[in-house]
Amino acid sequence: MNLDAKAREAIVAQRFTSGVPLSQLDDEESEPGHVIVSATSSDTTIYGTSSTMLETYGWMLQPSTMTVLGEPRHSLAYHFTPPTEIGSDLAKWSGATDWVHENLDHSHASEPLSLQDLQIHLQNFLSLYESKLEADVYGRFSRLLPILLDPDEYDEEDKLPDPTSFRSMLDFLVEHPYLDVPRLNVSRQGHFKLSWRKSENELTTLEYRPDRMIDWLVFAPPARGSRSPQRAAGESAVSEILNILKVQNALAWMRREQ
Amino acid sequence: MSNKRIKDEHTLARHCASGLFADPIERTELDSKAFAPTDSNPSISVNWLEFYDGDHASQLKFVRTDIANGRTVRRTHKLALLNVGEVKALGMSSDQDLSVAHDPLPDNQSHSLICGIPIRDKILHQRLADAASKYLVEAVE
Repeated sequence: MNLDAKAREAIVAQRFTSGVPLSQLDDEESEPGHVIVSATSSDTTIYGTSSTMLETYGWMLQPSTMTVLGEPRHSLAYHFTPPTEIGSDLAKWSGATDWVHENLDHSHASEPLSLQDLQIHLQNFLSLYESKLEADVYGRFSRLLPILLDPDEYDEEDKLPDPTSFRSMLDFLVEHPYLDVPRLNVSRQGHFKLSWRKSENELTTLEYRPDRMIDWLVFAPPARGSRSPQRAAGESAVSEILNILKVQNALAWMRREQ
Repeated sequence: MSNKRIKDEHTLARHCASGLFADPIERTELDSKAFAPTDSNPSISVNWLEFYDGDHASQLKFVRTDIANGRTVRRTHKLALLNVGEVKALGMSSDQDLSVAHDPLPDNQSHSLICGIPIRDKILHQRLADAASKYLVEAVE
């Protein structure tokens, strides 16, 4: 860590404790998604702006993009719990100095995340959405995650669950609370997948890729004058998926009953 | 080694752990990933019931033993039963020539493979999963 970084970190820490939100810092200091470590002899605190707090926490699940003080610190990805404080504009993690320093000093960049690590982190990440998701969706996912990510059950040939896919899926559900409670699974590529089924010929699955695209599949009843059910699949940007579902006549039955 | 051939009227059993169900708690309907191959696993593992003589119940019993020899089987798991001819017909409806090949393993003599399912054909994966969901039996007797 160079002096500039230390100085900046001290400024941010001071402003945090004095109540100045990070969003009011200048651009250089409040670089989006930046995580800042403040270490003293007795404790260590990590700050992140809340506008990017979830992003930041997501980064902790992805060592390849984790940034601490401008440098990748992959080992951090293994050890963080949810923020100890979440303000309106700030997230704050606190921990014992030795504990964090040990991880900072002994980077395990070459070690892949284990399924058990991911299970813990994704459950913690889900808990950040408790107040945003519909209660029944949150409850169902809380029950399903441990089953889906059970190391004894997870097919070792499958790719590990992708945290970015998980976040994209949760954000989608937050934006569309009128959708009925979906079923949840993880694809062989590690992408989280939601599905809704009303009948044999009424099925929608949305698979959230980490590049913000969705692989979708829709089964619909036969069109007028036809005996064959309609089946379509494709990929679409998250922002476009509702239009797809409307065109496929799926959105209407995917809604919660009034 | 048996000289038997896999016929269209024969039955295949797919071992399904909880994660292969659309809802891993209810476990009444398979997710499409149950029939989704990957680059490293281009074929779908199944077990061929008629490899063994006897009635359906005894064939199922032998197949359960075969499957348990190769992997962990829990009481929450199920076997999805599929007709070979239906597998091929579903493939044809997606313009795919699916085949079923006997692929015996040392401790799993009825092991077979469904070959030819395209990795990206999600509609076919789902249709095979839907067909297999109609005949689910316990994986542990």
